[in-house]
Amino acid sequence: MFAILLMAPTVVWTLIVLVYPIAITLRNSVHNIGTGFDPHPSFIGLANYAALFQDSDFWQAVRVTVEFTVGNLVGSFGFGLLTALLLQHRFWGRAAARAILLLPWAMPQVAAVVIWKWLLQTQYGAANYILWRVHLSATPNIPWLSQPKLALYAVLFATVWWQYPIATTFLQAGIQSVSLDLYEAAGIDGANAWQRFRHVTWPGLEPVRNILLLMLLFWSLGQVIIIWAMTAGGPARATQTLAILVYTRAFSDFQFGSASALATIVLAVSLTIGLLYYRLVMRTEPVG
Amino acid sequence: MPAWGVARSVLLYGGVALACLVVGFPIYWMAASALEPGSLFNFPPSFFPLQPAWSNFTQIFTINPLAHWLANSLFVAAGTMVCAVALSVHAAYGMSRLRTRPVVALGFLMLIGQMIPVTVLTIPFYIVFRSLHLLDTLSGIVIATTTFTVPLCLWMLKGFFDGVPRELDEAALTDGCTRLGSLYRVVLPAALPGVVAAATFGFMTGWNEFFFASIFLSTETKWVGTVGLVTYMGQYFVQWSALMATAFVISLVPAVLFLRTQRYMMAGITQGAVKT
Repeated sequence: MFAILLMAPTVVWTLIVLVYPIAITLRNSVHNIGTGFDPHPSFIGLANYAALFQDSDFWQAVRVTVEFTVGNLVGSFGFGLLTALLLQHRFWGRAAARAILLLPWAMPQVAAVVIWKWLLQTQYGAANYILWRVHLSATPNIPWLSQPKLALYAVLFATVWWQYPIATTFLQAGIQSVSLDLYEAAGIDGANAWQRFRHVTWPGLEPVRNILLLMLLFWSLGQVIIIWAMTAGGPARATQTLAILVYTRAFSDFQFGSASALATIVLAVSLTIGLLYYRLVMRTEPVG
Repeated sequence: MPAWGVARSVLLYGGVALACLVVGFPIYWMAASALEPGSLFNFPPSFFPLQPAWSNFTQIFTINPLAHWLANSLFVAAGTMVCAVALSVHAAYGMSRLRTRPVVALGFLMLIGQMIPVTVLTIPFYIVFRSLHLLDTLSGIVIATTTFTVPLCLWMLKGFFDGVPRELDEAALTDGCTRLGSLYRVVLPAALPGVVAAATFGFMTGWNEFFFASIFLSTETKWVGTVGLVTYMGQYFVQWSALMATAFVISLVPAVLFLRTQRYMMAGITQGAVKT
């Protein structure tokens, strides 16, 4: 009883600030709403949803979202795992290396955007100069942000650079929780570094790995700040994910109804993944 | 065996050096560019500021109302920190001490805030804030940001509270403390690292908030640092060195804070997400 009382302020806050807005979104999604200023919008059933499924912008956004999510998952998880494996060893300067490797996450996302925009600048950018000098690129002027095919990579560089430290942290905690006895036993059995990783570390990481991948999934679906500040979804919709499309529909096209229907779809997808997450965590740790 | 040991060291140090170089270079590049005199329009780029223009860092305060923006960021960050910690401390204590299925499920419900893209909530927030006259106010930004900060703070703190033995609060109860009293006087001090972690996280989230601030704040003197930075970047004649100096100043506060509380933060985040 007392616990419920303690939780009440947070629950009430969340109900007001989260659940009520979601209810408004659901209601808007079945009404013919332009800017949200009309007091009596007409009920149009699922027309907003039907229109979305025939909308090329929607399918384009679905494709970009999948590409961006896969890119961020592979990049952040991969680099996170690599750095976590490096940091588990004892070496001189480890604390400093750890601080450097985790620092990007502590910076504002918009600072990451500013930095990467400057690094990838077409004419004067350091990245283009370095790539050109080491002969990885034939031209010193790669138009990273204005070429639709490259823009998604540019956004992914900034996103992964900012986000991977979280993966490092999770995986480091996971590695530390693997029993040292297992490593010793593997050592006695004469396992090499790869075999130790394959048969001891990787299986031992399973619970942390699953949770981390799901969190990265949420964060990729919900990534807005970096994409918005870096490209605003452009050029030519090449970086327009579903989360960005919700915003442009509402505040650039002023179609609140369509945007709300889209938001509801995104919400449904997120909550489905959330339910998966809940079941996963409930299975790993029984409640007492 | 010694040969293998040497090879292993070379591999390890080489890997660490390479990773640090790749990750650290963008940060170095920001700092180096911030100190370049002039417009930075030179190719090849100069990789070391031979004549550092320290005046860039004073100049940026006159180009833009940067002092205003930083003060506003401080307000939003502190506000988010206080609200998020005040809300989540109590809820986390409840969740930690009463671990029944409904309570845990409620805790997961709170996580919805972590799961949905912020843009999904933009329209309803806009509608609600307009009717409550919270548009173009910093308090509105605090309210919006707190909602997205509480879930992680909650789970972070719960992890730390779980580590405080129940016997401690029971002893306080028999000594005549109320439930809340035992939370404030016994459990909180014992779980101080967790509070530090949650507070740092709240502060950083508030400081780094950009999305709602960029939509809801229209008056230039009410902007926070992140909004000012992005708007400045979007100007037609952007002076990259001044932009980098601005980015540096805005990043400094959360970066220093993070480096000082790193250990607690990292323990907090993993405890919150990995354990139930």
